[in-house]
Amino acid sequence: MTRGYWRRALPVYLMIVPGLLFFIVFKYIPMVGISIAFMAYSPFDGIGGSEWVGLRNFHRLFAEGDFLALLRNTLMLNLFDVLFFFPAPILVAVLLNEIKAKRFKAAVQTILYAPNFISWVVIVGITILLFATGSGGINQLLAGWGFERIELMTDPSYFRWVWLLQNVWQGAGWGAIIFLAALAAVDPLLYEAAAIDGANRWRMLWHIALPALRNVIVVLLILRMGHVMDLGFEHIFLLQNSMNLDVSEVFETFVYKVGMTQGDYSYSTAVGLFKSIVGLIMVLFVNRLAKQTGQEGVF
Amino acid sequence: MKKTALLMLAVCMAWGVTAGCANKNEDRSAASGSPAGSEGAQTEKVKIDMVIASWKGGGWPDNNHPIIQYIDKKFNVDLQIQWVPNANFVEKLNVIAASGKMPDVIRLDSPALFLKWASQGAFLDLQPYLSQYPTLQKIATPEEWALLNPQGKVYGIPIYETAQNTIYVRADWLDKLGIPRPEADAFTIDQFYEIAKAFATQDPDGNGKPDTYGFSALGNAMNLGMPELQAAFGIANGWKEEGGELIPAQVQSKEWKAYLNFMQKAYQEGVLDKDFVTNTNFNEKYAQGKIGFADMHYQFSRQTTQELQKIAPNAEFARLSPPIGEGGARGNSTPSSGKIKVVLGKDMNAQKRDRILELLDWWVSAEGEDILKNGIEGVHYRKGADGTYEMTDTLKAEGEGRQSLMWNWILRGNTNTFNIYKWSAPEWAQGMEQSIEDARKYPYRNVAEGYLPSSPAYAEKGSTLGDKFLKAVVEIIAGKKPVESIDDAIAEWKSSGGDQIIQEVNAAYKAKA
Repeated sequence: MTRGYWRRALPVYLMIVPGLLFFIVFKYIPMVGISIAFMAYSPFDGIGGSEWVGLRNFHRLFAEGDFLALLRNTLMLNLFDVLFFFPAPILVAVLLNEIKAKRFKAAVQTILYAPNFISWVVIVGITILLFATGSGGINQLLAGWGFERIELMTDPSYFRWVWLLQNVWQGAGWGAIIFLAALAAVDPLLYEAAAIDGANRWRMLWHIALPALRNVIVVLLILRMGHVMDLGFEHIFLLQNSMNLDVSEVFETFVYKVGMTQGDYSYSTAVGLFKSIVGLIMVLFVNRLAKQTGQEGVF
Repeated sequence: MKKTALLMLAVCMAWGVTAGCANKNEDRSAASGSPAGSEGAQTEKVKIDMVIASWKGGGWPDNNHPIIQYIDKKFNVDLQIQWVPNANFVEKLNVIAASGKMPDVIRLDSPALFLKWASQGAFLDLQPYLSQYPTLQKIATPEEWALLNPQGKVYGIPIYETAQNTIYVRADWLDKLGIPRPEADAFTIDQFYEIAKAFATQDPDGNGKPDTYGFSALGNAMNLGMPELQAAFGIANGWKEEGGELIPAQVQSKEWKAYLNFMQKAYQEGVLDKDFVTNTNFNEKYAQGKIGFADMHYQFSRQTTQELQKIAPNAEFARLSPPIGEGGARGNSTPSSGKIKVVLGKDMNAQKRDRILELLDWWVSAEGEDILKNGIEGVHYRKGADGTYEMTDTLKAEGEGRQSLMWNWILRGNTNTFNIYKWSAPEWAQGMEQSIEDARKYPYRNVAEGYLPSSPAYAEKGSTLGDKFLKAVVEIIAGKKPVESIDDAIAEWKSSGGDQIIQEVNAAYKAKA
């Protein structure tokens, strides 16, 4: 560590400072608040004045009659998400990549990712307008033609599919952008060489396009696993009604009801902490799995 | 070297921007200060923060409203009202509480929250000061002041409430189908159903499509938004008293079965709105002109009629009375005054406390009511040459009633004239008062209102258990489950906490009696 080294390196270190400060101030210091998960927290007594209760809030969570239902609903929706929603943008990207007409491709792409800018309130509102059992346009058509009405919004067996399809409609086009970028980086020579070797479209897809995407897919999948307990509160909350609660109550909506509307901060913090820990374990696990199968992990 | 210096400068600047932001809004109150008013000239200006729930139409856009300016001047205060949409109000209050900065004045519509925070010592005890403010003291009875409070303490100012809602009907539909308007003393639940079925099947709006319903309901409230129907079947409005015991509606198996049979049939026959499960309010449903019977109050009925007349010129929602069930059971949901409170934060100094109480004492006086309800003469209304009053164009553009937000959404006296203004048409004023008088003829109260929040089991599980019970009710009505399965829901409600709630509420009831 000579003087010369520091003279060269100091600006680089200084550049880290704002980012570091951001994390310390907005991410690390607020972690002190986690301590209220172990208290019977009262906002008027503050963190210093509230009583410590150890793991009581966690006991309550695991003893809660609904715990298993919450866990099942959360995991089921995530399973749907990873199985069906996660591959959707990849599919969109690969298909778009096959389109040769530039203008057409740009137009399709824009149409596909426009829904990303529509808020959930609007999307759910439109869905209800279309599919409501009595006044929904589609059900009125069905009834007019003599078919039976479909209780899409209230029958619990449809809930997961409605949720999933709305996700795909809103997010698949936008999610494809990153995969398209990876595909654009593929050397066109590879395709030419493959064509000369007599490879058809499927072969090229299998041996050139997909391998080019492999790293991106693995990294995104690992990051996705960190959110295995998060589903996006707003969307689910808007879709909830008293008929589908059996399948639609997840940790996030539960935390909201307990913490925000009933003011039970300690309990809802405990539930949140539990969620985070499960997420962390999943990330570590999948990262390890990726490394063992010869992929690069995220750390 | 030069590069390094530049970089340092950049970092410092980035720092400076954030640091600069921090104290930007500190001197705002000083800047907005107007010349001190006549009365408070010798005293110091006091800033008062209020957090208030806003309803349809939202609060005033800023705190420069003429009425606020009038109060600021008269009492030498800087009144800052923060309006929060009612749907997010409890959530917002919880966030405020979590931040530890209690506003000076809050209107608390949730008794559970009031009790919880009162027990945590968040509110100022008003008992020692009340006798100095006789006008304020007179707005409620001693029982109403005591409601929800521990012995000898008064943690909030009780809000006067009255029954207003009852059953209304599309009078034009009755005429079209040639059905006479039901008499108040003979309007049975069977007649209600018969007419509702006619509305659903005989195309009362004349568009040739079977797209009308007898009545609608809400999927997110235990009374399904139509408490009059549950009253007719003898289901308690929450809790009822019988033989010295308080009994919750959730255990009334026989009554629920009769009610659910009625509702299930209504759903099957298309008399009840097929979309009731996803309804969260009635505003649009009624205004679209597809529903025959409605639960509403006078003002809502006038507004809805006005909107309806844009699509159907003869449309009119006319007032009926609650339908009569077996054994004469009937009622309009009747709230208990004092359940809603206006509370003061405990941390204020004596000067601020006295100033706020002085303000509130004036608020409910005749002079205060005049200003807070009618607004400022010359701004909101004018006196004509013939001595009658009329709204100014400003208020007409804004909408009648927009001047009375502080009176109706924060604190008001115990009269039924809260929607009647100096310029109101006599017919409106009379209709309004008559409607309230009629609604009060059939009281349907929750008798446990004062005791419920003292049950810890209710505080912890009450709303979750309620949601589950409601789910069973909704499923049965929608025909997913047989009516008998309500017994399972009752058993589950009792075993997963209901029995404990019953026991605790009755203990509190007997301790007070």
